[in-house]
Amino acid sequence: MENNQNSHINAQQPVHLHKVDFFRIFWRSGIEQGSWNFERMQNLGFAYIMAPAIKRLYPAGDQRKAAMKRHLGFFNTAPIMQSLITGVVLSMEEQRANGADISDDTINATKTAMMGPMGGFGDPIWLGTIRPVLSAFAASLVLSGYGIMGPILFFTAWNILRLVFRYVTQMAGYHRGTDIINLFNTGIIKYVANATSIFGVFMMGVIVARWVKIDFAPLAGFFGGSGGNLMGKIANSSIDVIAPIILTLVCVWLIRKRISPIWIILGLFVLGIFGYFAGILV
Amino acid sequence: MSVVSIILILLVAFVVGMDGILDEWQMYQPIVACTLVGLAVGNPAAGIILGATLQMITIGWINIGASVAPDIALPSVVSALLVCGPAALSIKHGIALAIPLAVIGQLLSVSIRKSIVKLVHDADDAAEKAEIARMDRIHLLSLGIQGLRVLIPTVLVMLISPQYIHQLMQQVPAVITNGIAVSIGMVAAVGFANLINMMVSKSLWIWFVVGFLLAIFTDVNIFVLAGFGLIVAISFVWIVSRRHGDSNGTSGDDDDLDDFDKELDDL
Repeated sequence: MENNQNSHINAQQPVHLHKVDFFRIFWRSGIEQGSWNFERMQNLGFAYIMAPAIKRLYPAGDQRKAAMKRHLGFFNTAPIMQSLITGVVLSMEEQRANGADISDDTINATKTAMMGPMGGFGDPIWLGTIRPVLSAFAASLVLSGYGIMGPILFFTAWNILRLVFRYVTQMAGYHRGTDIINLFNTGIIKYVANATSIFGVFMMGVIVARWVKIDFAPLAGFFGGSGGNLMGKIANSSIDVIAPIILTLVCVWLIRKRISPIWIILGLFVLGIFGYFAGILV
Repeated sequence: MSVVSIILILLVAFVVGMDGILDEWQMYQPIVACTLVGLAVGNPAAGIILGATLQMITIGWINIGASVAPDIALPSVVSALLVCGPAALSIKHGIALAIPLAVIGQLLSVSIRKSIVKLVHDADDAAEKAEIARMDRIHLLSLGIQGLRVLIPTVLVMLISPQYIHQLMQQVPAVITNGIAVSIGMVAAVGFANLINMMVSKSLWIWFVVGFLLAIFTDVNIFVLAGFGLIVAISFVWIVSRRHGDSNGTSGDDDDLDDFDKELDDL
């Protein structure tokens, strides 16, 4: 529908994104969710990221206006995966500005087609695996006496991974354009997702074992005599093994029953207070 | 507190509030935010310990899609201020206060995400007039409002006399404080349960069990276990893909997930 406008631009000198534009866009991608809203979610964030490109590709007037409006449409994905989508959209916008026959709808359809799978792939990896594992590392460093090394490790490791990933995917998306979607069909994404979820779930088992604790009072008192001590020790250590996993499964069950985590936490506080009061927990 | 400390705390509160919505730099995670507040107040040791403890509780609080989890940014900053600062609360008290603060932060976050819709309509207007700079400013303004979401409550807490807060918390009976302290180990389960609910499908439970058993019956360091887990996960996926041929992969996971969901719903 905008072919007429495109064809007269075609006669002019081709416009290309400059290196500095890619850096600006990369920098801006670090504050994508600043205007997250319940109407169109990351829409303004995406437009904000695209702004340097829009400025470069569409000098002024209707073309610029159309580009801004185009990128203010509904958008939501896993924030870190957004760089790949941005890269692809940048290559489409550049081609469009140079006269290629790419309509508003094509660009919007590409964004929409990518944001769902990227969200479904990105959130479990970044927020469900990498962040919990790194923060568990950091917290265990702190609790084993390494102090500030914990937070420093967490912050630098996360941000190096994130920034490198964002830059690489932004540029890969730009250079490969819509061809990148073919990559999804090779199954590579599925392998990565599978390996990550196996690793993530394995680590969750590890962390639950090390961190979830119910501090029962020593049971030795229940078994009188000298043999009671041994019995008590055995009972306590088997409870130490069973209790965390049962508690975790009960919490999973409650969450599946759509009970808010906050209520579960408050319930556990109450349980803790009563348990302490009754002398069962210490 | 010195003027420098106050300025640093306000700066940390603002930055943490912004990062809370961005979910990018992870400065709002307790282990970083509490450390920063501790450094600002000049008591980093308490901040780091509080941060690590809060981190265990909040580890599975994740914003996925359009859902808004309990807030992490506000409780990290305010609890750390009260624990490390002149109010000198114990870590137990800091944790107990973090929970209501998480709810307050969540309510504030939801209402701001709603009211930002108006600003987004301004951005539509800016697009209509092709004013890119104005659109940029609206985005940054929204981000700033999210920063104020933590900054303003922090200022309000700073206005209350620290001695008063300290005395108030001393009034809380020891049974309650100690009860909350013993439940910290249990509360960690809630965050993991949230993660498990999201991540674990029927075919994956076995890996949870393997990880759990290895960690509970051995004293192997968590880093070593992580390295082991990574190698096993990659080789398992590689072997499965060799055996089934590249096209098959490990399809059928979705069905398993659905089945498992149904099973749990039936419970």
